[in-house]
Amino acid sequence: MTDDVGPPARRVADTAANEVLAAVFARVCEGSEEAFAELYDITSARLHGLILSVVRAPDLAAEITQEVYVEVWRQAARWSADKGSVRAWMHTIAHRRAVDRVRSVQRETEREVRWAGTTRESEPDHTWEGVEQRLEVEGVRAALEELSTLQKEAVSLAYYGGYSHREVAEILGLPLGTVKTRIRDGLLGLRSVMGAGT
Amino acid sequence: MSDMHSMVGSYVADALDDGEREEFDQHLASCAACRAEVYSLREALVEVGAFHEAAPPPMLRASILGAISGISQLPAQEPRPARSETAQPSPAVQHPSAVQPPPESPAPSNVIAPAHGFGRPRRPVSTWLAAAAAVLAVALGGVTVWQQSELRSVQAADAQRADLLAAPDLVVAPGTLDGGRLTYLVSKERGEALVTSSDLPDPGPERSWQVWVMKDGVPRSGALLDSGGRVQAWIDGVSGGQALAITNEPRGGSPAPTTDEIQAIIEF
Ligand SMILES: [Zn+2]
Repeated sequence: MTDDVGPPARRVADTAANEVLAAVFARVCEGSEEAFAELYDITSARLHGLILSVVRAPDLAAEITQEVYVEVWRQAARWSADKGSVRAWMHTIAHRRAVDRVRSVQRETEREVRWAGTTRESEPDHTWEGVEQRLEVEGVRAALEELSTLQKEAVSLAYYGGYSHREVAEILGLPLGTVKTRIRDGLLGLRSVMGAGT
Repeated sequence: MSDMHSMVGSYVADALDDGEREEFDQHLASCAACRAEVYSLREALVEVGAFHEAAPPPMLRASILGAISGISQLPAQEPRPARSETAQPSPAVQHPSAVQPPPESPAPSNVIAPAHGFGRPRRPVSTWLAAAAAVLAVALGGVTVWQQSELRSVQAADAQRADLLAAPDLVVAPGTLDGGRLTYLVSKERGEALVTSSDLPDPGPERSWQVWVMKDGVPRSGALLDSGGRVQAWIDGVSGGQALAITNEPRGGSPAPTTDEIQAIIEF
């Protein structure tokens, strides 16, 4: 191994895992349902965890997870390396879908209402919390620690909260340009902490 | 317009609106730098995802495998031209073209006139920020540290009841009561709810907090909280209900609310 700067053993293990994943995915592309089951077993915890962290309601997360896997199955043959790794491609589909759903559904269901039921409170929309979320977050916490509070806020609202950058700007009372920069810098910060893409 | 590069983060975070996303897709087609950045950011986020893994419910596996076996795969060649790369054909999923702001609340005139709390518009900025804090907490583990300790104390306090936490339809929502923080846990399937707080304000001398289950607009007493501080109130019979509401009542509770002033309410 020549790479002794990057984060340690995990990366090596990841590389091996990615090779397994690539082989499994190649069979999925040929229509193997058995391989798809393997793909599910390899990827579902992370994919579902991502969806759950965005939508936060466990039943909704499960529903979206199912939709995403069906989509992955249908689209598998259309994956190509320029869309990123298989995992990144799947996560992109999952995240997009989770965000879409948060924007359309969650606003309807997460409101405090007046007793009389006629007048809805304009309460914050993102209040559900997924209890199934594992506590195994030290790494994320450490990763996010590297970001400034401001970047953390912007990234969290946009990526995990499902807010558009325009909404983030509104929430934080900042110009859109500033928010764009913070989201981008925040993600770049995460990238450098994760030691990826360098 | 010339500032397209600056949208790369928002693009990766899915924080663009539909029009901007299309614009950026077009930009990507001609900007290798942005393509590389998108690529590397997405890979990094997959790695970040390793820290919030959460196994899906066990039955989902069979459900998904069952679903796909009836669905044929699309051929490798995309029939549509370049720009469609990220626009997946997904008739079932509605793309909200714009996020609707919460409906403008008409001034509550004839309804109820609470002395404080629900009637007046609350500071939108600070509630937004509260939401931001909640979201931030998600990034740090899905449940706020505060809620985690709440939930752990539930488990510690009552192992039998604690399996409410495992209910597949469990919803957990934070709320406030007279300035104190609450957590509502509701499972309609189990017909149970829990209201828990570690810093509930005192209901006042000779007063209690009374939790009501709202069924079709009719309140039924669900639980009584005679003191503030650390409290847990279990509520049964929520299956047919639509909301939990809390009022301040004379000590010992009332058969029906004696006040129109709702101190807290959560719809489920
Ligand atoms: Zn560019």
